[in-house]
Amino acid sequence: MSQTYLVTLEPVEPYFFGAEYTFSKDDSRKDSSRYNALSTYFPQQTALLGMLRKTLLIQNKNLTMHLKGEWIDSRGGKKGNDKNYHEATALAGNEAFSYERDVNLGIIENISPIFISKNQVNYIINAKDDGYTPKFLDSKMSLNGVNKNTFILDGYNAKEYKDDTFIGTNKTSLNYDDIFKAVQTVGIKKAKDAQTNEDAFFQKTSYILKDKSKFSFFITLSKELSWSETFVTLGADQSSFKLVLKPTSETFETTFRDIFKPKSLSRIVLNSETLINEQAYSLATFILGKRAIYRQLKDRHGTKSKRYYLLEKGSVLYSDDIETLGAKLSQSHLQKVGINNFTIIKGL
Amino acid sequence: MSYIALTMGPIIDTLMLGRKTSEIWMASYLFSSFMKKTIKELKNTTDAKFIVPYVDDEEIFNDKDDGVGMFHDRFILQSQTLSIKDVEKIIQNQKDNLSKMIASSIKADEQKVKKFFDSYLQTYLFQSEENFKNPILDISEILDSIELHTPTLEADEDYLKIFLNRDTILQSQLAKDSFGKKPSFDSIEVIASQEKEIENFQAKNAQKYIAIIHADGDSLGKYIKSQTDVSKVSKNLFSFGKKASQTIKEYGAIPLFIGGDDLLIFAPVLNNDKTVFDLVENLSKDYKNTLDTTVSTLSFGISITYYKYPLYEALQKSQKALFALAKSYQYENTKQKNAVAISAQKHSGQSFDFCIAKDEKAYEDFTSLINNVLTKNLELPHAIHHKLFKHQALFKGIPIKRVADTFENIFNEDIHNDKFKEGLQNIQKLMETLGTDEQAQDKLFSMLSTIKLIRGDR
Repeated sequence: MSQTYLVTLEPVEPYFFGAEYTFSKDDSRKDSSRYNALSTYFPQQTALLGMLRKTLLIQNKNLTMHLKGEWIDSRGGKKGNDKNYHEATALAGNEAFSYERDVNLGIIENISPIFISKNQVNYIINAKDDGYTPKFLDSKMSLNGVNKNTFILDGYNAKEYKDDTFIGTNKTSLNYDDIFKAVQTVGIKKAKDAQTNEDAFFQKTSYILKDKSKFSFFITLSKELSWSETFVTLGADQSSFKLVLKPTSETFETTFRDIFKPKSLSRIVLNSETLINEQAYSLATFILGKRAIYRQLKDRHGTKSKRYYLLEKGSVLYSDDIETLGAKLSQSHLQKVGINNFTIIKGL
Repeated sequence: MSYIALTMGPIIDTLMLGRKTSEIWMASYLFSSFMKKTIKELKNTTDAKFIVPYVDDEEIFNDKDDGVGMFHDRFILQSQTLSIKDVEKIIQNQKDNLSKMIASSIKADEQKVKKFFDSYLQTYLFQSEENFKNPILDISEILDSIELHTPTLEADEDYLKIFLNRDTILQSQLAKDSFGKKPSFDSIEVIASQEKEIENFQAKNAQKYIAIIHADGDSLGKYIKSQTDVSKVSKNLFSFGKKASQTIKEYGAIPLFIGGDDLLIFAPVLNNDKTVFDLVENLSKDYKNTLDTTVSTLSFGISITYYKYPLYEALQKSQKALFALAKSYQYENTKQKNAVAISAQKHSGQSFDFCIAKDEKAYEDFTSLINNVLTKNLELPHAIHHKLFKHQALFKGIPIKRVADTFENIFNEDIHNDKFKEGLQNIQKLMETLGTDEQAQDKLFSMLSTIKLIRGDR
């Protein structure tokens, strides 16, 4: 029988989540690695998935931590085809996540988008159109050759700097600085002869969460777990987090119900990074958003996959046919890992 | 008669792809060149009358422009006959030409490159027959909204990223046309140090820092409203662009983009005895004189980073400094903007920032102090910053008139009354001008950190 848990992740040290540019192998550099790397604020949903799968296997004693790495050991049977292997596959699946097709995730039925919990309040990125009034004008516009009636956001001032904000379940608002604190560290890469030089100096920006804030998300599993607390590692640096699971009847949807104020026009607000295909895009009248590049690690050497261009959390999509647009965005193989999660807000 | 306007992008996202000066140059120049060619075709083949930008100087349409992108990311025109579809056709033609050039440069399939750029390049048009009271301002506001639209992108390869590679850029037809030959670009180290021959880069510490400057006109709307002849506005901004380009090069900096009141510059923090603040001063004078106005001023966001610091982050820093600090700066109860915002990140990891208006007394004191330190007219104690910081709580609790006595008590060794006397008096004067509250002291410490960096301290 399915069980939903509220999972909290509390960093025990500054964390580092790799983005497009870190210190690892990189197709844009032929010479020595970078001088500086900047962590992202949030882990990718796929990183959470990987962490959960690994944790399930460790807790169930299917994964062995060897000196050279971690893997599913054969225990008595043929390699890759024994009781341990089958148990591990049933628990966590045996395929890498793909943006393009459904994969077996074992007992993991659903992961919600990640959010912040701080002082008993839960926060997600606010809609990017907060404070603006969408409207159509009596004139024409053409967006890369697609003609429409002119759409503007009344109240938008291009000269005014405005960072994204977080909105809480108590309707309060927080800035990034209220939650995240940058931690700058410097290091020196030593050469084989143990000598250092000016070029070996590097800087890294990690983050810590302020005021005992935590990362949170919901997971639904097809069976109950016998454990509720452990320490896990996440991110390029294998930063440590305390993971706590609490059974709950709440979901992401019930937690953040009615969090966005309706406007005159119907719209979709993205709660997670979202892959939008051409069919969905053709239904959107206007997208107020930001694109980000997402890639996956293909192997233990850090080689990265092709680039996927996703819209960031908080992006807003306007459409005349909001229900059909919602249907096109509802890619189940992505939604079950917390990608392509969105809220439809009908117009007034 | 209808107005047709174009806004194009994504400029900032494209700039962020660059890692070296040549790459960032091309990321910006691509758009300027695209706009130049589009406007040229419209001007030569249609009845378009351009309101923005200024197009009456035929020289600006030459392919050879020595790498200076003078075309903004927008135009506004009037026409009796043009439709949106007509302009779309011309734009598509230019997109095809650009894709062809890039495909040839990176030896990739032209159709695949074309498909990528048709989605990547955002060319958004607006058309209206409305009789706008002030077309430049009214239409610009509409374009501000339209340009926020984010299209999807699906591609196996990022052809722009492949193209924005130094070796590819130097061989590209676009770069050769711009410079009249295969160009060469100074590396960040060379721009920062102003040393042409870099061997193991043993420059002085201050010469290892690069300033990325974003400048933008303040209250340009007010200025435009004050002008009876709208065409003069574009002409004046164009004249400012030409003058600014000269000023920037004279300082030893590189103008990456000059479009109206919008400037993007890579500059050495220090060049002989001149600093980036001298460049700011001269550009502000150019702006005031060519526009012949005090209604509109120039604000600056400047990031100062070690030469190895990622350019895309340094660019973000300077942009944030301009829009989050300088453009929202308020002082003396009623005044605003006309500010310089500094955001510095040292090689040691230390970072600091501050913002000050160019007509504040403290800015005059600050720039005068820098000048005196560099010309060795006076000296500052090496650890002045730390000494003052130690007594921050004390200074916070005293009135301005007690600052002089407090300085005397703290700096009471022989060397303070001798070698460092004048330097300390200058710092005291700066503190008295800024104030002693916590915010004012933080500003003072950031200013002192800036002076130390320029002086060459580690």
